[in-house]
Amino acid sequence: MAAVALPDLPSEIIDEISKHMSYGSRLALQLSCRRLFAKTDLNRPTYTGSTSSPTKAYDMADLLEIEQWPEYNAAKFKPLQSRQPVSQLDFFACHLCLKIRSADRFCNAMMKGKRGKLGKGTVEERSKRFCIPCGITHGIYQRGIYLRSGGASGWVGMLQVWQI
Amino acid sequence: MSTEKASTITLTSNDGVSIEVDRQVAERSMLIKNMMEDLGEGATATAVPIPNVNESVLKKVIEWCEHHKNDPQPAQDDDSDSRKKTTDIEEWDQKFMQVDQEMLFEIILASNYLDIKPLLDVGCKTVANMIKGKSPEEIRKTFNITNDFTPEEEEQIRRENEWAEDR
Repeated sequence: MAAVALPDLPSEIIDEISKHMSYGSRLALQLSCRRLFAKTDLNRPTYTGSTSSPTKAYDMADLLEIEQWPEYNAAKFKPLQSRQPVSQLDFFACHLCLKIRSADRFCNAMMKGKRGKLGKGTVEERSKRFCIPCGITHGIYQRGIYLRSGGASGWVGMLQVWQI
Repeated sequence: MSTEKASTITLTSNDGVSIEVDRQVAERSMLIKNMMEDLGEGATATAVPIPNVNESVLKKVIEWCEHHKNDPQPAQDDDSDSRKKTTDIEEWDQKFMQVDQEMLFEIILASNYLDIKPLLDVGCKTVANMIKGKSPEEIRKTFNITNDFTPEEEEQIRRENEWAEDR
């Protein structure tokens, strides 16, 4: 008898396993290969607790899990002194638009310390992170203020907000 | 059979090995329990074939049933949240599940076939815990899965998610 592997399990079993996992883990499972893509229901209700978002299948906690994947977290694998986030290599979740966006969409203060990804911030603290477009739309960043952005290339990143 | 209730049942694995088991232990399997109820007492005289399960897996499953023979039976319609809220696994079960991946999947398949819900649960939680927090590539490494998506397809699937921004 050929050895049974994870993708060989019938979809009812994959579904049973999925019930115990977060949205982020189900997504990762789905992306691992074609057969698991076909067998995983990304939006199924789970037993790990419901999402806090009324309209989406995921919430900020899920995005905070996904943003830790190596493909969204290049800085983690660099030497300590050069861990500034880089556009299109480092990505962060925004709790207002509930998207994962490139580092160049965030001001530097959002990507370090308690709201960063590599520090000691808790889920609650990291959940306060928002991107620059949301900051402007929601009136948190007001007209005329200066933001430091651009992470590693921060010297070009001084941004003056004029939009209302 | 003259006895009121036979105390053992013989199970035969798909590789032809017969194993004698206490009836109480075997009846952790709802499949066997229902079969015994349907067939009546006479049925215990003949060996019950378990066509989907080989000897080593069957022995492992019986070991679990033996340890859990006095647990309360789960309610028939037990898809309610209570039993699955957490991925905590009791210590004995954790040790029991420290087997290679093939055996782990075989136990899951056998418990599904034999309808032993609590064992199925422990198996699924064990796999879920191995997946938790990992990226797709880390999952592939853990389970020795070959990525058969093209880079373009993978990128497209990611982009189609609601949380992905256009970049």
